[in-house]
Amino acid sequence: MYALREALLALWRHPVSSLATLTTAAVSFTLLLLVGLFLWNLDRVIGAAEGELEVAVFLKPGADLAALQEAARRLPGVARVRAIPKDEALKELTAADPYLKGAAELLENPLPDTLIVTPRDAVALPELARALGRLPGVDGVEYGGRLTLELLRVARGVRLGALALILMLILNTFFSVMGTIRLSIENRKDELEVMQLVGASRGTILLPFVLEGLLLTLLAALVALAIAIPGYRYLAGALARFLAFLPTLGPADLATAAYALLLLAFFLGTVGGWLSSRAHLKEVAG
Amino acid sequence: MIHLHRVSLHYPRTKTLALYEVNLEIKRGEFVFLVGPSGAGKSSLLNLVLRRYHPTRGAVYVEGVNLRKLRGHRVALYRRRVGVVFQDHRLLPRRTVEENLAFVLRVRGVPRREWPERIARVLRTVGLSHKKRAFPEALSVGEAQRVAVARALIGEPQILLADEPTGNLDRDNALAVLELFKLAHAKGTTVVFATHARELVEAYPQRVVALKAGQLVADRRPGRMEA
Repeated sequence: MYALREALLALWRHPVSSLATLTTAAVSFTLLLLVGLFLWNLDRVIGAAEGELEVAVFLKPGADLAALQEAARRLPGVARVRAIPKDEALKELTAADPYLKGAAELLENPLPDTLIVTPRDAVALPELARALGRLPGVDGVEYGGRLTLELLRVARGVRLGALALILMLILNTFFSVMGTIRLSIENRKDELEVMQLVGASRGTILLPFVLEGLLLTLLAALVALAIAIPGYRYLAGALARFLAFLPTLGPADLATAAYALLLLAFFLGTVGGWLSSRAHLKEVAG
Repeated sequence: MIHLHRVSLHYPRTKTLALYEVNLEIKRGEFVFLVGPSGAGKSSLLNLVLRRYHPTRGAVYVEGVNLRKLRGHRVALYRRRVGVVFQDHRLLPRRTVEENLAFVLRVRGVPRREWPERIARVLRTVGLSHKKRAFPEALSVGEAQRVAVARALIGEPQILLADEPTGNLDRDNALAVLELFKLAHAKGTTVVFATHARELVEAYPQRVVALKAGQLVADRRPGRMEA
């Protein structure tokens, strides 16, 4: 209770710096949350696109389907291999297009045995296709989605940039909190010295500063949630009207994001407050 | 109780030799005046006993414990046994007299139910019961210093260190403050009182340790003299 009162008093005693940190942290958290939600959304899109990318491997007549399926499975970067014997392929074809049924009965099955290979990493698809093409008994390979592949590459670059931005925003908040705590310590130098000289434990001395940092970041996180969550829902709603196929985040996902932000705020406030006060306490103590 | 063994203290920043080869033994319950001109090393010696500084050479022992070896929480525990009064009262300006005293009890973990009684008792001792709700800025210099003494006494320390506590006071106030230290001494507290006020030393004939340029130059006990 004492520590909380001291923390609140400290915020009150230097309102300009407290407000500056609060604003900085709130802006950082809002951007961080929006960028985080965007990234999460991007991951969903990438995941959906990646799931649809696969290589069709056509075998030469007489090639051993089972042996090649095993050989393909052993290649690096392969997630799944599905074997489609040519009879099954024909059945699938005629089921999809009943007009071909008559023609198929007149001719010998022209379709080859086929392997459908799903890569672990969609961007490595062309490389995997080349490796599959080199297997003995393979007549040819095909994969579609070249545009999707390009988009995936761009999306990965965007993700890296966004992660760097998130890191910078976290550091910005962290150092803002540390700066405010330092100011708080400067304002209470005499008090801290007296505290130390009358035998206050480190915990008693540090706790108000840790709480001060925590209050600042938690408050900033609440402000950020109040801005970013409705903002995302509005944007996602608007986007869904034009691009209905794009996956968006639901209420449960947004709740998870909110908890994650609060946890991050807790961590930044506590650790920032603790590190700053611990470092500067020695200077004060002399 | 307090033993300084060949203690030297050198301040690297100012390149000052504050103390040189000081040997001093203070017994439990003793009252020692630490005298000497400004810069003689009185404050440095007190700060060593308070464990604010470590000696550059030698060691400071309190009850057989080398203060240099105290770490972390043990430093706080040690300081709870020591009361300290400075020349400037160093009261917390944003807190009332009562809150300044409660602050010590709080940081020392004294149960809250004991606070009112202990605060009232110590304020009676220093004659300032009527000022308990006053802020330091509303006190006279003498009153503020008496509150500072009360703050040092409220923790019932075994050792009481005073660094020129009457330096800013007129003679009457200085003697009034000395009376408070005499009371603590009478209760068995070990007192180390740094001063350059001759009238105080004469008003309470006790052991006098003289420092000059960081060296112990005289150690006079009531009735005899040692150099």
